[in-house]
Amino acid sequence: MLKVFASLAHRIPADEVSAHCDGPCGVYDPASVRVAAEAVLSMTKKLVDAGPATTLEAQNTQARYIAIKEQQAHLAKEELLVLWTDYFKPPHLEAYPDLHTTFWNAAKLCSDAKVHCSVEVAEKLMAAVEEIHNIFWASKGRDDAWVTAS
Amino acid sequence: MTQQPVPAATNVEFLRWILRRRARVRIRGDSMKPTLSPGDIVFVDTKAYRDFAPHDGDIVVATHPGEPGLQIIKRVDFTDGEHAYLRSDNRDDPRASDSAQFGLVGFDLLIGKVTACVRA
Repeated sequence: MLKVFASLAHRIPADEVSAHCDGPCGVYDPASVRVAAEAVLSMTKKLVDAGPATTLEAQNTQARYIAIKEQQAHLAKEELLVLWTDYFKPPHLEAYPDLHTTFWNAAKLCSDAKVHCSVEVAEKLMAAVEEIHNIFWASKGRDDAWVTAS
Repeated sequence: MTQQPVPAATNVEFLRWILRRRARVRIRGDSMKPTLSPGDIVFVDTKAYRDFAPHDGDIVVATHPGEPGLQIIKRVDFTDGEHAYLRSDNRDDPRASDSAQFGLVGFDLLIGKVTACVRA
């Protein structure tokens, strides 16, 4: 009986789920920066709320939070650089003369978020990403709302 | 984290599928090897997270946070009460992407829990 069921399960067409998830080339969206920056904010809040870890379990948990914060801050910086250097072109600079400074400051905040464990810094990073979100969609003639996951 | 294997489907699990208590999907890609391989069929309990949060180690089907049309299968590394951090079992697959790339995934994007598999 089990063999019959197994055969049926394979013969009947099924939807596929991907173990890969390669992003489509040429598609730009500051949402990828926002997701990473939100993860940084989330991890930072958890670390601040938890306070000093006194047990081995707590130290292990906090080490993992810190690792994610570090990783996601770096990812946010990489995603910012992709937008800055690949999507934005000289004509955008004419429309947004502070573009370079905006990206420079946002990238610096990614580094600050790694160095420090500060909710204020993480929130500043989110604000910088929101500013870039607004510039990006305005450059496309759209007015997409700023929406966060949490 | 120990990568717990997915149990082989039993007659009961097949009956649940026939009674529409389980969804059925086929694996594409290598990033969940050795736990799951391309062509494997897995059964998914789409009601598993209606009342309960996912546990560390659960294998889940989720909507990709950056590509709403893409369904992915990953393992829950840890949760923070509202989000799950999803990882691939095959850390050597250079094409694999998971929460290390796309960040935390909200529970609302979790489609269900993988309960059993039928090997290709």
